Amino acid sequence: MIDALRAIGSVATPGASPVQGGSMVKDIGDFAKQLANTIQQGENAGIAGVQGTMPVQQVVQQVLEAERAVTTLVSVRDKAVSGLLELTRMQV
Amino acid sequence: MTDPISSAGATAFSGLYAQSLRMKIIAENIANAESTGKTPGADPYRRKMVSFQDTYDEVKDANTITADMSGLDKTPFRTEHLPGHPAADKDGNVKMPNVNMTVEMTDMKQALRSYEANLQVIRQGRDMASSLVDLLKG
Repeated sequence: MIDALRAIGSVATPGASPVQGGSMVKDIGDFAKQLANTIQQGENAGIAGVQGTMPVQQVVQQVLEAERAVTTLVSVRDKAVSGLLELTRMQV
Repeated sequence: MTDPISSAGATAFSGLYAQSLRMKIIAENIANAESTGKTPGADPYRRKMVSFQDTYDEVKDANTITADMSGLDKTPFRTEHLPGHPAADKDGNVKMPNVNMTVEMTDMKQALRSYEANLQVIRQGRDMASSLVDLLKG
């Protein structure tokens, strides 16, 4: 679970070392990387929109996809964090 | 594999873009509804036409729409008797563009309706996707 959190964290902080772990961790990491790519495209589209070099429809499309990527990523992270908290509350 | 809702969004966005191009052509037709030639007997502005094609977008895994703007309306030009006009022929007739305002206005209404329909598809897709992600919360 902590590895899973780290996988998301490594995408959020550029230059961080890739995470070693099981397949679930790798899946979450890949998923997060794909989302980070979408967010980057959204940012680029925003800049192109301001410069007027891209049709507004495309700008809106890319930015909406980026927004969706962010909300999905945050929800997945929240789920992982709540799982971790659940573990810390375990009776010993 | 791409997300079907995302593909639906890509299709709808291509629809928005195609309708925008259609609006551009309608604007050109309306603006040039009185554009004649400069020399006697010269051809005036010829009405442009848009045709739509369905194309497959491999990246989005969706069938999108593209607008072809190269079409020209082949209906004959109307003529007006304006003897003093620079484009008037020896009988004093000037060829006027084959643009019909009523047709252009109807076309514009159609473009608007189609645009709104595509917007509705995007809105609905967004609602569906966000309510799905909301399942992760709580």
